[in-house]
Amino acid sequence: MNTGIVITFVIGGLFMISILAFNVQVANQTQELTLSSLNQNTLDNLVDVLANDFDLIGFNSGTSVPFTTIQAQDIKFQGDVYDNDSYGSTDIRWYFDTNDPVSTSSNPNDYYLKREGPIGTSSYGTIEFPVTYFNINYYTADGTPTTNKSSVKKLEVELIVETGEAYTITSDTKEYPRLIWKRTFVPNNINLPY
Amino acid sequence: MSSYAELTYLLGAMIVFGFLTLNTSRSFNSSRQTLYQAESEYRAIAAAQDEIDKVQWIYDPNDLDPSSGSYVYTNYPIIESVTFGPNDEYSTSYIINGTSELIEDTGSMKRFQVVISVLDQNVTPNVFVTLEFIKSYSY
Repeated sequence: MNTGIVITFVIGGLFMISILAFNVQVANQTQELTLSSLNQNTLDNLVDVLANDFDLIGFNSGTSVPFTTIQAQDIKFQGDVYDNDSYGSTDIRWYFDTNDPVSTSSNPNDYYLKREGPIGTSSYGTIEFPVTYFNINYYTADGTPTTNKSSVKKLEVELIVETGEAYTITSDTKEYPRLIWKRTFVPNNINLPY
Repeated sequence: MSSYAELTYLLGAMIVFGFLTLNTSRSFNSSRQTLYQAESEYRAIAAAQDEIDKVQWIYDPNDLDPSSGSYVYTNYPIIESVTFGPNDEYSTSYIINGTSELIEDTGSMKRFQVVISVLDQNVTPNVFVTLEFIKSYSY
């Protein structure tokens, strides 16, 4: 047996393995970056809608207590959240529906965060955002947690959004890029000096 | 002689391949860093907005007057820890500074400029966010 050929095969084989491993690594990193970027866009869109609604809690409602429901994963309030629709102050509901998992993605952790409210100039309906976690804490003006609707002056909203699809680290390990967002809203209309 | 030439070619190829992998890894690392920066910046803006929201319901103008004893930013900058997750399993901290300046006093109205800055030192380079808010009082 020619020793030179054997050595060539060994070195060539190692080189080939390196190239393949490198290829897998590049593919994984590209997947991770693409999924993370998409996830940031998803969160950005969700936060835009959510912040608009929560900043306008109670606007034009004529009441200092615009809340109907205040639960950790379910909130319903009155507000005129969009100027150019045919609705005045109307009910808006945000709730995390853990009975409705996202069936179109491979991620087993995501469920629909649903918003019921005006969705057009004269239409009222539900829009859905796939999220992994949604939680609201309610506080009085001095920062004490409360369950009393008339005492709520601040709302701390927390969101975790994972991508619908995973990138593969090993054949057994799949990772879903995750984004976390938290903000405390102090809506003007529930903090007016009545 | 021929085998030496092949060996040299192989060495050259391996060096080129090494540089290629290094550069690609650097490029991905840089992109990932940019993503982390963007995420951190997003959260820092939310933290700054929290502070601005608090300013909106300050009813007493003295609370925004640096010469007053009730000035709200006397003890700033502060370090604020924020926890995330269903069981608070993630956490980060920000250095938050706030200042207020009386920019107009017409005799019937006072106008303050509030500047909130948030520094996140958990990423490199650090993320720094500044938001400004004008608060007016009639009297």
